[in-house]
Amino acid sequence: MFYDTARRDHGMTQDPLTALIVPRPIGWISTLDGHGRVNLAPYSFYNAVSASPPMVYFSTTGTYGDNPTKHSRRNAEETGEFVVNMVSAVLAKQMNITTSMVDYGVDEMKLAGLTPAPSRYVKPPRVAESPIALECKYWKTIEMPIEEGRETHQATVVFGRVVGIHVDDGIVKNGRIDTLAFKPVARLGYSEYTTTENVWRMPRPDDPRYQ
Amino acid sequence: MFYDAAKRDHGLPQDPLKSLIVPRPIGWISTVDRQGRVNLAPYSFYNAMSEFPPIVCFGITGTYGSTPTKHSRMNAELTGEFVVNMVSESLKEQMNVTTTMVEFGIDELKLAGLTPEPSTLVKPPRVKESPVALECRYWRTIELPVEKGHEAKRGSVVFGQVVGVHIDDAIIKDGRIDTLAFKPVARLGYSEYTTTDNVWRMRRPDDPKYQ
Repeated sequence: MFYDTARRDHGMTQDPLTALIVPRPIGWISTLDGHGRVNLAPYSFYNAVSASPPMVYFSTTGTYGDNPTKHSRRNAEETGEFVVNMVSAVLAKQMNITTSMVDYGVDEMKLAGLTPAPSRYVKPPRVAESPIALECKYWKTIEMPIEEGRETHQATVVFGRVVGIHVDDGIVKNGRIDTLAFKPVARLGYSEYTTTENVWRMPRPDDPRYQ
Repeated sequence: MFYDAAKRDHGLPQDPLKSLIVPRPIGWISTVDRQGRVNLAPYSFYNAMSEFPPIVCFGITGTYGSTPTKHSRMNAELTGEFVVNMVSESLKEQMNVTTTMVEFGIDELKLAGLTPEPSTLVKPPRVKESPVALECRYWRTIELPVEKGHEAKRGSVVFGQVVGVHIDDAIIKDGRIDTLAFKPVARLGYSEYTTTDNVWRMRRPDDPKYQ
């Protein structure tokens, strides 16, 4: 089948778009507001975007309750800092609790029964239970185009530079990160998720030594 | 363990950064140059960034042989169009063939034994064997910061608006995209990959009706 995205003439009951760009990694982002109150929320329009320097980005869509942007973006811009925590398989339920729409200033980390651990280079705490945490300094925000009739759904992309990295020693094996030791959760379409449960190596044809 | 991202004092034989932002979806991007010659290459700094309108982007690192940027970016900017093809599990070997460093103008789609299929709204062909193809119009490029001493590895991000979507009817079941019908390949660290082999639903606590 073919459909035109402006007409969305796919004939399905639910829009399939997010089910077509999969699996999406989850950035579980902790920030502080101007009063030092913790925010924690998951984003699947998230990825690495550069290795030198190490940079990540995440996108937020539209308004959030009374706030013009989601809390994570607002806090990252106001304070210049955020932390990306890894959602391992054992943290899936806690991650889901942090998707709840709550008022600005409500601490989703506490709501989900998680433990804040101090970061080294930035003020927002990391999630102590997460096997990986990337401490980031805000770089810039790019506003996405507006779709006519969908003005409140306008997205924005927040970029940050990774300055400090925490890795649980329990997931390092033979000098490599062992993905199966923490089984990252990733996002699919609809209300669907997946867990990484298989890993294989496939060296580039022109660089067979890089394993 | 903790390490400083600028000093990279992780003490491991290989830099772990890419293994910490996982699993990354793969955008297998087909473009044409001004002479109409096809290019096909996979990118894992790829994701959706907006739903209204549908926007995707991919990050590119550094130079490529004698050309100042990778071919996909150059072609997207010169022609204003690109197509993102889905790498299903059955196409992993062909995808790997297209990672090979080849001269500008060499058709990796042909090199991998794949079939070019005309797109509907844009000029670059899609990969006929892919179960999903997103026809995109180039929107803009963002240049990322330079890391001192790593000038040649400077990254950039190419954004495009999805205008047309092809979906193999065989992966639609009960009006939904069935991820396990094509098993998308995703990127991990090092030379590692994973295949999506499990799907579960987890509804938002505040929106339990959305399945």
